[in-house]
Amino acid sequence: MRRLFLILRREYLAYLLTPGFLLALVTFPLIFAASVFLPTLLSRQAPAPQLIVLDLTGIGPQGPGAYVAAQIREDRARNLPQGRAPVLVQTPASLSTAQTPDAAGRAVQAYYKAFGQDPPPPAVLVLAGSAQALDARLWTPRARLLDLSGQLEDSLTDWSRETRLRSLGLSSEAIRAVSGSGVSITAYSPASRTGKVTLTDRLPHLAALGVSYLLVTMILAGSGMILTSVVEERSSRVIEVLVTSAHPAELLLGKVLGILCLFFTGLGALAGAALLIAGQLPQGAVQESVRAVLNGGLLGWAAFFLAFGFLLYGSIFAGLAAFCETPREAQSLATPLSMLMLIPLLLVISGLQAPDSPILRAAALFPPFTPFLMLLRIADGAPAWELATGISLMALTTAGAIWVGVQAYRTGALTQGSANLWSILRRSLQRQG
Amino acid sequence: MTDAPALELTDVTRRFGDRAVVDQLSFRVARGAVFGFLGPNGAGKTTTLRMILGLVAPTSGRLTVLGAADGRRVRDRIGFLPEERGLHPRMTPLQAAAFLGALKGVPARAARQKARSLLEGLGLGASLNTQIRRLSKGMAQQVALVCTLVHDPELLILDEPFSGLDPGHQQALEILIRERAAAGATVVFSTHVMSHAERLCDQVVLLAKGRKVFDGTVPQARSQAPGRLILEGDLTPEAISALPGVAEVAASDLPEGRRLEVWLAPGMEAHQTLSAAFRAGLPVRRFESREPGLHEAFLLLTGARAALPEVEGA
Repeated sequence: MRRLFLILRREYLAYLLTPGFLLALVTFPLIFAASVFLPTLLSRQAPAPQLIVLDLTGIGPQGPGAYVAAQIREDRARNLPQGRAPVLVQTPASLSTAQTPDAAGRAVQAYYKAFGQDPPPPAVLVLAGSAQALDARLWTPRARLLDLSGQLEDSLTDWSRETRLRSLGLSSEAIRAVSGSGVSITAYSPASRTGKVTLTDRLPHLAALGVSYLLVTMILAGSGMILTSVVEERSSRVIEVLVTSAHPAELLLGKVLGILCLFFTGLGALAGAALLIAGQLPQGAVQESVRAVLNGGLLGWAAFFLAFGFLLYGSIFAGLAAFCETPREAQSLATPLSMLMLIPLLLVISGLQAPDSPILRAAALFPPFTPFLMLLRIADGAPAWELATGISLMALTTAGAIWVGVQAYRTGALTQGSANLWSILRRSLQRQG
Repeated sequence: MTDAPALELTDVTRRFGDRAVVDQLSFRVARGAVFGFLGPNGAGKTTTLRMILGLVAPTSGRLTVLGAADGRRVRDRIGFLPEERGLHPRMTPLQAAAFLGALKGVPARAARQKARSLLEGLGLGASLNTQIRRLSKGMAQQVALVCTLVHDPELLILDEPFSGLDPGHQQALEILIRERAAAGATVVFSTHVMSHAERLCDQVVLLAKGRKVFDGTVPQARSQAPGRLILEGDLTPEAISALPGVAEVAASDLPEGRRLEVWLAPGMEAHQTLSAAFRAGLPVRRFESREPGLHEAFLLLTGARAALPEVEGA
């Protein structure tokens, strides 16, 4: 135990006192914040789409073209985000002569050709037909779906409904009353913190997804550190001195736990800073969100699964690294194992929609996936037997992974030159037998 | 020295596949002795040291280290310096010594004090807090040695400790080995350089192709090799070959006369052959008696004499 602690401390301090760790502490929250705010920022910074409305229905001021244009002007007056409020552009003369949708299409293509690509030309909404059978085509200069197509569909659906209701003899006031009517359902649950189910109740599930991402990140970053450390020790023969001073299990676990402690230090510092900042904010959605994540010991479970997941994978990585002379060899050996982690990550993303799915429940009991998936099940109120089974199987598998890692580390560390992994593992098993 | 050996190997064999790297090896090393483990490359020296340390299990045979059946059980009482000195390059000498000392059970503060004193004794006082990667190779090797000594091991195992050291550092290491032995530690080292073994060892074992070819003291090893006489004058190889105790003669021409290198039969003293030459009235102008060295014994015993060039001054 004393030697284990000494090795753990050496590994921990070797990384803690480096500029790289401090840099990671600063950059990690920045990257996290960027991943949250960047999509909104990009959307807000994007120039408003330009739109030409070409109404060929011949209905006149009561036609769909005028209706859509009025709606757009109203939206712009309400200061909607740029992406959702297009700017109306005067119809150019080359388009205004078209009589049919097909002719309009040809005219639009000629217009785009003449306009150039930077800035892109406006989108063109071509409307034809009648109120009963409206033909609406949206031309865009680039072959991609525009966000505003949904908005235009809503607007034209409203026009169509209002036109039909008017033809049935309803007044404008009655039509507005019909359009404004609707029923909303309020959900209640004893499992909700406030009784009423809100978006905040989804936060533990999102936190589970975050922990899975974090675990994958930790394992990938940590495995790189473990691989480099073991390969360096092997190539510089430090490992020969170490194995004459401590048991291979102490060396392997000290290394893995040292790096795990390093991650927990970083995460602890970031979580502490986040809580401090949240405490300074006024009562509201942020504080409510923090409470929702802290509720039910979710952080404790997250730490538990992070630790077990890292031990499980870290031990195997350390064992593999002991067979490698160069970091490149180690990386190529570790790649298949890294790919394996994508499976639970995909499952947890899909599981957000269906956390009760039998596939997800079974996968959460598969030990290599348990650290990634069980938190989602806990957030969804998994029964005690399921949790106990998952944890027991995971603990047994982790113990097995540590044993295999130690055998591989011991044998690989003492093998001079290139080694055949399978024959060495076979010898290890024979030795144990 | 006490009767209980520091190290005892009985019929130890280690095979890798069908190949016996160490074959039926037996020897014992008394406590407090300086023991030289000699042999050409691939003789099985490092594998034997690894078995002693418990890093490799013998295929058969029995091994006792400081009274234990396995070096791992007494790892805190053993100091090991591998051939390629293993140190974390980003640690300072003080950190490395404190860390490795602590692994062997020495409190960190005591380990640092001891390391400081040893490093200063070796003239490395100015580099105590310099990262090892910034030290010269020789300095790093000395740091590795200090890390091996910091817990005052009862058994010191040094794998090729002199390789890569300049003559000054080699001398300092010889002094250190003598000091450790005088303090009661048992020192086991492997080497190719016979002069170190000749100066330091109470006992040497010679290995060739995994088998022991000699076990005894340095004088006993020397006596295995033939003595040599250098004779100059108007001499013929035939006349010299007829003298008693002459095993082999090699002649070379000089501006005046010849130079004959004469190998004597084992156990034959040079003065007996020389007296016979004078009694026979041979015209010897100059003579020189050369005692056999460990180098000659090494070449003879390992069967490498014909294959290896003669080393001047060995």
